[in-house]
Amino acid sequence: MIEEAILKGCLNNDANAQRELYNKYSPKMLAVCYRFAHNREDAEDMLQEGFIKVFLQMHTFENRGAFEGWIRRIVVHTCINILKKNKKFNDSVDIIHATGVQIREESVPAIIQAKQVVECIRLLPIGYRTVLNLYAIEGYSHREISNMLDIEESTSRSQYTRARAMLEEILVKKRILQKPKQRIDWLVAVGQR
Amino acid sequence: MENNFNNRDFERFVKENADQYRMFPSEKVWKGIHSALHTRRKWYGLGLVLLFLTASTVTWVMFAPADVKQISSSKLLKTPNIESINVDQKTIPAVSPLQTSVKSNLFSLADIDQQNLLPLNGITNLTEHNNTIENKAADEISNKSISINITDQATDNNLTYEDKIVLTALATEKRDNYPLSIESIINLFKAKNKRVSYQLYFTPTVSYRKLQENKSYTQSTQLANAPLRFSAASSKDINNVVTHKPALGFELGLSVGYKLSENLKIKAGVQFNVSRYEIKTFTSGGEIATIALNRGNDSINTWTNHRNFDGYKSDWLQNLYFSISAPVGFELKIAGDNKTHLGISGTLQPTYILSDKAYLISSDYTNYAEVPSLIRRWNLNTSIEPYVGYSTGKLNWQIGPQVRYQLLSSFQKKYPVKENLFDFGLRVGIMLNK
Repeated sequence: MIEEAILKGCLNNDANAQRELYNKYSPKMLAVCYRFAHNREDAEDMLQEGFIKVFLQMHTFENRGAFEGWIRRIVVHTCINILKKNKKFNDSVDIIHATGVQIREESVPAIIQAKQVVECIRLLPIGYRTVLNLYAIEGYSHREISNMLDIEESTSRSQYTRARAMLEEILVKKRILQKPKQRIDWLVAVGQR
Repeated sequence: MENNFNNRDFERFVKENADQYRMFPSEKVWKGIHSALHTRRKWYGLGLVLLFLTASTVTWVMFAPADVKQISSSKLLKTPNIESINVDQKTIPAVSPLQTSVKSNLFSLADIDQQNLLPLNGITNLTEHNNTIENKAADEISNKSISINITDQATDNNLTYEDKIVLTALATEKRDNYPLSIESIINLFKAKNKRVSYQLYFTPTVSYRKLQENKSYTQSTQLANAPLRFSAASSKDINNVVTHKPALGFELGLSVGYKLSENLKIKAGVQFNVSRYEIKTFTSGGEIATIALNRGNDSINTWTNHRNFDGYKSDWLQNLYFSISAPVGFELKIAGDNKTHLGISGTLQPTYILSDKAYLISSDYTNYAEVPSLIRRWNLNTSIEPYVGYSTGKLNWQIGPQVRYQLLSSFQKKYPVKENLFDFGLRVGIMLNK
């Protein structure tokens, strides 16, 4: 089924077309949700809610831009709404000084690099992780992030700076990345402050 | 690994790796999406229809006119309307039959003593008329016997009455046409003590199930040539092999009761039921489940992701049945008065399964699969409920525990496992007091 036919079928609430669309985009979208969620079960809940909204709002897709990007925006907004509703986000965003992340070798399975990077992202505190996901991976600006998360723009910038520093430290410690020595010393200092 | 990088490189590295990552969701996610988009709308529609029917019935019962036997105007017309009787000074119609003969000569009624006049049809007011008796009135009273006693100041030769004339009308009528006394008239306007009553009820329930094997099948020589795994399964008690737990459901119904005596009532109605329970399964990558049937060497093979043991993720599968029943039974008042009483009620409920989501275990007890063709559509339930009845003036409440048992298996005879459902609940019923 080509994409146009799938879209048309989804607009007519055809279950087969919906299944085709879901099968095509759900693997990538679940990976997006997984970066925001605490665990796989939460990620699947976010995915389910996100796709229900996608199908219910299908008629609002105006054919401007890629369809995948449209789905991804809905899924990301769904993830943020669920985090805010469950109040799992607010506590973490206000943390000025996140405690150092204790990394154990066995906490990150030895698999392909993509999964390693994602698992390292998930080691971050929820507030840091959310801002980093939205800015570095999803491409939102700090102003947009501040509106979505109901925080100040300056808070978004500072949270992102700390998140990036922490992620770099984790990736270096896991030997996924190598950093010059002087930069490592600076990152350690930031982390300890 | 990268040796030298800047912020942009780092962000690009993170983004590229994150975008390459894929994860495959469990089947549960799609089922949730599908039920949200499709099944829910269907059952919202059915629920709305049932709610509308129930509300319409309750509204009709509340606002239906009282079943009072009103005296019809035609019956009233059969009796003399005293108000309209005018006595013609010149003539007097021949009103028959009369206990006393009335002279055909003219007479006038100067006055009519109301106190001496018995109401002929519930009409107690009389007015004085000095004119002729209308022909209509004469016709109206012609079908009954009226005796009119006229105080006699008149003789055959006195055609007029100057003073007060007391007129006493004694009417006899057939009792089945119209009443004569004040009490009988008042009683007519009272609502009769109705034997028919309507009750709306709701019962939140918890559903359990009892499983039984079809022993004759599992131990039959048909298994002699079956694979080893089937033979092993036949030696195990199925209730020790499966793990299930009850879940919440409900019953919603409307019943009509007919009072046979002061304490006994028979009743019938319609009831919508939701029965649910959960079974523990493990998600697998997908494999074929075989269900051998009682009938000869038949079997059903179906694809499933659910195992009874061993899988990468445990889950609780929800089984549910939507059904409609026609309960028929009795209600017996054991003790108490009209205000508060104790009673017991029992019904037999022919039931039709409207829709189901049931997972059946395979012959080797390894897998669970949905096989709608093996679900029995028609079933029979029985229920018993002791209750407390309480009257609050306009409403009559009945509250009490209920046990409902499914007499026939949920599955067809050819499936080697029998399932009988138990529902335990708290029934709350409302009736309007008459």
